[in-house]
Amino acid sequence: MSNTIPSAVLSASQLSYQYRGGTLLSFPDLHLDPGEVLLVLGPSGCGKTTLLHLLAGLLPPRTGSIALAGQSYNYTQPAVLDQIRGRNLGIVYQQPHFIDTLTAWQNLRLSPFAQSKEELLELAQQIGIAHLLKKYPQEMSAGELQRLGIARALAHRPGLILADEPTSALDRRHCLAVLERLQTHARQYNAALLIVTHDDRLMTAIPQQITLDYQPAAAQNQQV
Amino acid sequence: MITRVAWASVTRRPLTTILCVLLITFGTSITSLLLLVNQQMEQKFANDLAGTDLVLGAKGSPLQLVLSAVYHLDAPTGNISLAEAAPYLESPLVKQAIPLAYGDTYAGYRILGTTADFLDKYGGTLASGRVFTEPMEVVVGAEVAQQTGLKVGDTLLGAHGETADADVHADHPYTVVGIVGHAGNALDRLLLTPVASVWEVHGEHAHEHGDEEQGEHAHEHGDEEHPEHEAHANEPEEEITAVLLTLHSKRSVLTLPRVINQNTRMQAVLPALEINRLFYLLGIGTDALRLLGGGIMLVASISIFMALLDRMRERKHELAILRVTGYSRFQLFLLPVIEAGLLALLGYVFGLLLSRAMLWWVNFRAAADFKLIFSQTWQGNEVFVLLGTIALAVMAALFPAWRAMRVDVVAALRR
Repeated sequence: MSNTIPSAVLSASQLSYQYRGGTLLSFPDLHLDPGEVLLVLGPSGCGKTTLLHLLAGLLPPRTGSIALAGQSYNYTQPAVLDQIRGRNLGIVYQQPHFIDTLTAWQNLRLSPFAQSKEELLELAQQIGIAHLLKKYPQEMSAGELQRLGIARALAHRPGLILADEPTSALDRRHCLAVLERLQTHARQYNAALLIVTHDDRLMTAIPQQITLDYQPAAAQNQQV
Repeated sequence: MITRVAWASVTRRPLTTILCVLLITFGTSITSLLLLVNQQMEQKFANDLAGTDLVLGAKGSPLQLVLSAVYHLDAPTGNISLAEAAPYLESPLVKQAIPLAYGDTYAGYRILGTTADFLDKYGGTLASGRVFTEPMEVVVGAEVAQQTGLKVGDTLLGAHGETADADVHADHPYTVVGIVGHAGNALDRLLLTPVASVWEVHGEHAHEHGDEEQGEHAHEHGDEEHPEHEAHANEPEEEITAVLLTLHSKRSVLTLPRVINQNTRMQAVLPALEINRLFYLLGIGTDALRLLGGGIMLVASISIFMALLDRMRERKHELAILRVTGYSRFQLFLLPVIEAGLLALLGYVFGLLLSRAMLWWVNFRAAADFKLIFSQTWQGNEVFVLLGTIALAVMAALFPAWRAMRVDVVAALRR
């Protein structure tokens, strides 16, 4: 399983992680092709966010290997890993953070791998934030920030979008709207979408899903 | 892009930025001003020296003699007898001897009795007219001409003493025969006339003005020590104020003064030495100002350090975003360094402007006293102020930069 299949956007095998003094978290193998949507469900504390950070290359796993867009993560070369992540991965956060001193437009163009101005403007129009681009993040509403966050995750045409609890703070109507938006743009860019959530409302909307086992020992090291 | 993020963080946090920039501005402006004033004073003093090796004059303060005879900034120490000076002026050691006889003033400017050599020595070229040949002819310096509107053919009356309302020698008018072009030194502020004019105005009339402290009329008639020197026996003793000597050999610069100082009532002074002494004395004040400038710079770098550290602490999630977006640790390290560099650059530019404003004020207020106008142009060694400022700022940024580089992305994103 350590061999990566060339067409896969993401493949992860035999991943495990252990926090200092905590119990071992092990994760099921993952395999995502372009355009595929996967829901990773599980209660709080089962290591969902840890999985997301492992997949993003921000945490080195205890065991196992990950490849993104055909490139294996090598944790001894952090600069290369920064490049792989920057080029191929877009992350949508539950609470999106931005550079507060930059405008929405500048935040959108932050990525060193960002698309051309014209493409970004088109993206902003599709997401419905074209009229907000001159504003600073603190001048925008939560919903606007959410949309800006999605736009930023797509700004460099990543092969994989990781979404961390994108809907858990929203009511049912907005929840489905955000999900719809994520899926639409992922499809449009032919990007794989991996949504990590404990929000059961999404279960009916996305057929492909895995559930992380609840591990009682891990609950002592809740990481959400 | 990192530069843009740094620039945004500098411009979007005006209060911290203003504090840091203000401190750097004060620090650099003081340092720049010192550099400018010091360098130009030394240059100016060196220029006005115009190759004079020795100044011969009446005994008294050597510095005063140099200031009065070379720079025309002070009252002379007194007069010397031409007869007593003559053997030294004709000495084979001497290449050129230019006599100076202080007489009167016109509109506050000195009328200086001398020879045409003085004009050449100070690089004066005539803008109009000719050089004086006869007594009571006068050649006017550029600044004097500009201020008083004198032109060739005009006559003027010398006033006795330095003030405008002093006695006027109404019976001895001078005739302007030439105007000197701008020379950029003492020449601009003088009216030159043959030494004989001064004798004519003062010699034939035994004035008793009682202003001995001015030294211009310390006539001591009948006190001749060299009665054999009777070139002008029909006149009272001919006196001059000082002589500017240029020697053939630099070695005699040290021996000749000893001979003169031991054997005569005159003194011979090395102007370069006296000016060095003056700068040494001024240097104590400059050092204090330099320390002040350095202290302000130190406080500036501490404030940069604290501002950046604070910022890196409260903006951890921004750093995390940058890392996730694809920026390397090294680029995160650069972020506070560039911010500090920008603050330093801003402070330096404002400091440069402020130093010019202060210089303008110095020129405006003190030009008449110092008889110096400081140039406002950028001096080459101000680049060291810039480099020093940036170096201090970057040093202040190193620790915050290290912290930025080491930011725990996972922990920052979880918040």
